Amino acid sequence: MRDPRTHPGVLAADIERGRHRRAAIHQRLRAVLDALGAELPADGSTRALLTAVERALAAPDASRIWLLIAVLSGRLPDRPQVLSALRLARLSGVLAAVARQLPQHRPGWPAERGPWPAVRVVTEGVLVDLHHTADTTLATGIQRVARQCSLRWARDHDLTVVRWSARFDRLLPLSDVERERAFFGTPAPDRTDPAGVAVVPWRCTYLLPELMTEPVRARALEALVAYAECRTGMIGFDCVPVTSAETTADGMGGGFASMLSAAAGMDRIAAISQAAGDEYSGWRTMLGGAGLTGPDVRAVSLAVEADRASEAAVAAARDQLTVAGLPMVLVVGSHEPRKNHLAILHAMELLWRQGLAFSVVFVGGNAWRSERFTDRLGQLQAVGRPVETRSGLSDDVLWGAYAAAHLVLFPSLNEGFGLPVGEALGSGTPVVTSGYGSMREIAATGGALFVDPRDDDDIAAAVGRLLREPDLHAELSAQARARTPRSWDEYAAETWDYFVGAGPAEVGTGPAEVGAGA
Amino acid sequence: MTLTQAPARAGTELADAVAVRLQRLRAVAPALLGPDLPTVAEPAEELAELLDRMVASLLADRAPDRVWLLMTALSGRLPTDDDVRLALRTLELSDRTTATLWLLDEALEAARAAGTAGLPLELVEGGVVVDVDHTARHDLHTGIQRVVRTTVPRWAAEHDIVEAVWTPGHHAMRRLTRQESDRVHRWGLSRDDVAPADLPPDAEPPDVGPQPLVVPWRSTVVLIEVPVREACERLAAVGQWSGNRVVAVGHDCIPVVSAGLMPLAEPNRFVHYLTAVKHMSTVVGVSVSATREFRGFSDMLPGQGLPGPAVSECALPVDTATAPVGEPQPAPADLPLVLCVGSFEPRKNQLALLWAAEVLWREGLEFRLRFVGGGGWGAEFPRAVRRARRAGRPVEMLTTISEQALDESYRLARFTALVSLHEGYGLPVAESLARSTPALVSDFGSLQEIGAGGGVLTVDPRDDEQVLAGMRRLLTDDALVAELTAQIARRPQRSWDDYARELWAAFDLPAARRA
Repeated sequence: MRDPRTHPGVLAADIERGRHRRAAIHQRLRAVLDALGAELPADGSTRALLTAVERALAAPDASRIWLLIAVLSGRLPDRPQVLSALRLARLSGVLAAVARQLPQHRPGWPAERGPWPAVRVVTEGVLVDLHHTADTTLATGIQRVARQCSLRWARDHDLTVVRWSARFDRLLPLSDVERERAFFGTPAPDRTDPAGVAVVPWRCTYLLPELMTEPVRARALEALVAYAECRTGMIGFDCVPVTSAETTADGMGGGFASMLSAAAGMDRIAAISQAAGDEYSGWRTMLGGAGLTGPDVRAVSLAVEADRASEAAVAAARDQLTVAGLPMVLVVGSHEPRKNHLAILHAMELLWRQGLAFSVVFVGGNAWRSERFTDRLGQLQAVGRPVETRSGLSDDVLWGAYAAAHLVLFPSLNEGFGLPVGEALGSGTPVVTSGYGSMREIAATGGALFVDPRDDDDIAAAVGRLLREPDLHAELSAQARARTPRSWDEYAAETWDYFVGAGPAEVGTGPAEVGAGA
Repeated sequence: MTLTQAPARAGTELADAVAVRLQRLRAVAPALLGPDLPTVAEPAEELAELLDRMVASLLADRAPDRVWLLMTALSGRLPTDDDVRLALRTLELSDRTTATLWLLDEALEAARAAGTAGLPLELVEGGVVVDVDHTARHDLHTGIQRVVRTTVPRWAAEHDIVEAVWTPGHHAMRRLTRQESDRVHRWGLSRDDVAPADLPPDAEPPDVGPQPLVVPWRSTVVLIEVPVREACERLAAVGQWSGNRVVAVGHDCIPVVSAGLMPLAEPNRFVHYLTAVKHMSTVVGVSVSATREFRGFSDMLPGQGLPGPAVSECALPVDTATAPVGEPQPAPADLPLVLCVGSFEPRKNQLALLWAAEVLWREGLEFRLRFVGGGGWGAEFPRAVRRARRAGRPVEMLTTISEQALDESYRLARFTALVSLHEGYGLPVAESLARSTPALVSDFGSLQEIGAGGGVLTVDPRDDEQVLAGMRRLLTDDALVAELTAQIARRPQRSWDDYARELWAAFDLPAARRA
């Protein structure tokens, strides 16, 4: 049934009812006019504001309808909501779309059917979305990248850090406590959604330096990217949920693909390695079938800092992790199938059977489908093999372990970057890793033996050589120490420059550009 | 069962179990042991002897394809990647007795889970196995099933192929029953022979005894359908370890490219299909656009050390020559018909058509709009149709329609409309053109490709105003409709025969029927 409030008089009367409600709606109507560069009526009456909005949106398009919904309702719409409102506006006039965004007045409802958070349209500057990072004390690879990077962006530039509301329909500026946790992982009380300011980006810059796998958030972001006329960019970590579904938990595929739908409309993706860049470029090729060109893709390699461990940390690591007199093979990472830890156990058993004496330490927790690993580990421990798993090591002891290890073994099947390879080499320790993808890239300047991670014998042979050949071990150690580290400052500066510094991106021109990060 | 019968019954069961296992091992013995096979009179002894020699042979040469084959023969289930790796590692660390016991133990558990313990095995060596699982077991007849039902019978007439479906739970492939074969080869023709309704996916075929398992060896497994998720990890291992080639028709990658337009279950399923694709040797796309999607996916794989499948293109036909003939018989008073065929879901963009139609009706144009489809998801479109009907608009939404009625709709329509946001091919447009009915289609991807041969008007489906303008022209401009109809008559001829022949060649399958 047609909403009687499509008539300006009826709609104005509805808005007038309730002082609190009237003030909030006036603020929002003015914000719409302001964002569209329309003149505010001298007469600040409801009728005058509605007439001005009607005039400013006389020929509505999807972008301006997105803005109208986002500001009037205080909630970021998804695409179907935008299209539905646009069609309504074109058939029945823009006030019909306005009326649909405003809940009808109900006398006696608390705060006149509120709350009515203030809506702030952000028309310049940079918004950085750290929703998940601000909500966790976890520090896995992705959170470390998001933190190291955005911390430096915030140090060097003006920006607003935002998160999403619990229902993923509002962007909210971070409180001070949340900012601490976003940047440093500081423990903090659980978040609540205060009736604060809802941020609506409009023709500004939006950056996503973390992984987004919440489908509802992705759908709201997809519409934002499509319609808010912002410059947009994100860090592309990897496409594992699509390219290696057999190694990820159920449900990751859908969440990740939802994020890709949003990413399809973005201007730029900074991939964390050449290999990750190749994945995103392949995906970009796939977009043609949907008539989309996709973002520019560039590889900006992550930082690999040489965090030399203190003498004390190395001593602590030796004390806690090594078996007296035995060289230690260190494996860093959770026991998910992608990390190939079953192959490691088999290859190491082959070496023990050859009579080699060494210990193996896995640093990392259990993860999705690690049961077969746990079983096999138990069998080997039961026959007395010197192998153990540790989790929850302090950063200090972990860096000590990198330095104390004879070698670090990382034969992963698929990695966007493979941080342990860089961290081991940064500590001057030789590495045995997969001979392709990002792992090969990181170790390309020396310090590593490359193997086929799908060939257990190949893994065993390489580790065997480093255990048996002191000269080879010394040479690779020297190569590792001679590497030039790459700092987070460099990484943050290059990504900022790519996303923000280089002026507006040319959208959808030319083939995907994947250049090496400097 | 009485006490006196029990031992005899148990004895028979044991003999049956020995017989089935012996049959299976004999079937794979030449592949694993060569021509020099044991000659032992007693079945149980022959079974033991064969197994012993096979294990000894595997310990001497742990080639993954041989390990894959023995695991399959022992359990009656196609192993996964994890299964094969575990077996390779266990064999490397075991002596003959331990290895034999371990293999039997694993096989027993696998057979129990798969329910395939009693099925005999047919080894297809150097042949072509075509997976027709869904088409053979269901009466659905939309895009992919149509491709199977037009292509496979043509192949079967020219070549030796083995058609296969999956066992309940998708543990292994088996031969088709007669009913299942009818659904592939004689669908819609001899309804008496064809089961009236879908079999429940887990039901035993009622008409005959168990069909033998089909195990390919040095063969090609052809996937025209998109296999269900449960089959994918087993197919991935076939491609990765078994030494067989796995090849597929690439329909589209819509679930990972346009996930925003569908429920999450779709991409969640589809990524497992991509796991199987990673280990295929060839994917042949149904359009330039679909080919490009699979090529893009293949390009994503070097980062994990995989070459990915070779990707080529063999476009589905717009068969204007051999479409069934028949004359439309519009009632004279009827309004011009605009037809839109496709599942009711946001990707098909029916809401844009409905909006444009509403504008045109308000302008005073007279026409009726018919949506044929079903399935799908999203409440907004059906709601909008109901609202329009309540307002007296001549719009229909048909979810069940006979082939004949659909055929008549295509012939009757002034034009069809498919302004989809993403298609791998867009069969309704081909069907429309095959019946000389012009179409309004999207101006990119596969729809634009089909249209390039003539007979369509293209618009940007994301721009409602363009959809509106396109509909208005096709409704009001008789000369345009006549011109498009004339273009259809001049389209290059390409038949389903051409497609079947070219697809066979694109998969690099043996050229002539074997003797």
